Amino acid sequence: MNAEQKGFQDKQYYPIVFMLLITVFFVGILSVFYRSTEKAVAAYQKQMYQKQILSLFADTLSTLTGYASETFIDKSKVDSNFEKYVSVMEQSTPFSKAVAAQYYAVRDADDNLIGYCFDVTGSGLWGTMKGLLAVTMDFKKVVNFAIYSQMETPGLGSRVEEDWFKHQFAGKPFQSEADDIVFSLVLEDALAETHQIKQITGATITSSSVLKMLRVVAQDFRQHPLLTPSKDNR
Amino acid sequence: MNKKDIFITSAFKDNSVIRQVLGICSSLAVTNLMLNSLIMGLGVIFTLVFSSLTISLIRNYTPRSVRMMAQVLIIGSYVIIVDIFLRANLPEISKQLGPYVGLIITNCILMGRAEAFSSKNNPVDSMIDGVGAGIGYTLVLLSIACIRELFGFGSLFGLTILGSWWLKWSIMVMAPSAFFLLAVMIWIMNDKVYKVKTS
Repeated sequence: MNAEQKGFQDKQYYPIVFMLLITVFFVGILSVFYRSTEKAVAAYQKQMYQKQILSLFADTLSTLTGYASETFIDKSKVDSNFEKYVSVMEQSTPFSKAVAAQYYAVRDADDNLIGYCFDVTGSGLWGTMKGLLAVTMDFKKVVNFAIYSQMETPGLGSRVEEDWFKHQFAGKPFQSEADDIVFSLVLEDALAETHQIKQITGATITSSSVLKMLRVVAQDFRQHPLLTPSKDNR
Repeated sequence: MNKKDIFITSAFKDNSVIRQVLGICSSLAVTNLMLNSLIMGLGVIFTLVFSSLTISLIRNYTPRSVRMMAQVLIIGSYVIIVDIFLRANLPEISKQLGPYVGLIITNCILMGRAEAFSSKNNPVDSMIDGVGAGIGYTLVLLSIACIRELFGFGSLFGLTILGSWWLKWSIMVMAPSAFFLLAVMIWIMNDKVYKVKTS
């Protein structure tokens, strides 16, 4: 290091200049890296979202069309299947904060409506959980349910996305004429009755949060019994 | 110290988790699954290697008064690169690890190696030290995860090992098991391997 360099480094403003330079350098690198992967991340997220909606109705569609359930969520066919079976709808008056205004109507190959899918939100242990709730046309039964975005504890609460947890909601009653349906939790290894859900071992708060989320959504639906789509993008 | 000694010291003799009790948070948090531990370990190795290299390269120009700010900035940048890489290329793993990838920045091993080694040594030695510290950390994570996943889920890397007859030990899936497994590991290693004398 020469004397001139040494002199510059002794200046009072040198630390500021130094920090400024490395900040600009690293922010630049991160911006380039972020931009280069942005499209891949967005495309993946969109495809996963569409796949999730189709997967909720895959068994029903399989029964109605005779194709295997896997056909509807095949990675290469997600786009075409989504376009064929799902219509994006929008409720002019949103249900509440827990249910997004945009929802999905799912139809079979003959264009007969088989159910609706709603994007629902609730609080988890560490942050917001987002899920997709598929219900029958009359809103009385859950066709399927899945959490697609969460910030729960890795390996514990994050198991809320595992198939065994999601699948246990299929066919459960969602709304009755008189009272709200109240689900309760049982141990992961126990046998669950109609109104019981197996909790995730070590993640009781996350499991309870999912039930609370569904309870809030059910109440919202009760207050908006008539689902009158104002816009059908199909 | 030659390069082999730097590696062995960093990975084993002065193992960051066992000997220096650094990086404990993530050792406890992600060790219930082997795959999560491996990916976390690889993320830490990547961040350690490149942050050590960068910090060493600029060590003669870094003002002492802002050195820790600069180190955090450098470490944070590499952590974000790991996070973006996982989201773009291994999204399922990225989802499983959740916020813990971002929390690599708070892993004391990184700041520890930056302060203790790379800010005083040449870039090649610093990279070797980073690889060693990262591998040492990953091995500890995998050792704990092996026990927790095997007894807690009956599987290793998601592959069923113990079958349906195995009654899963729920405690192994929960956080307390990581506390006592890590404590037992530190105890055994200090007593049998490092021969630490306590008076």
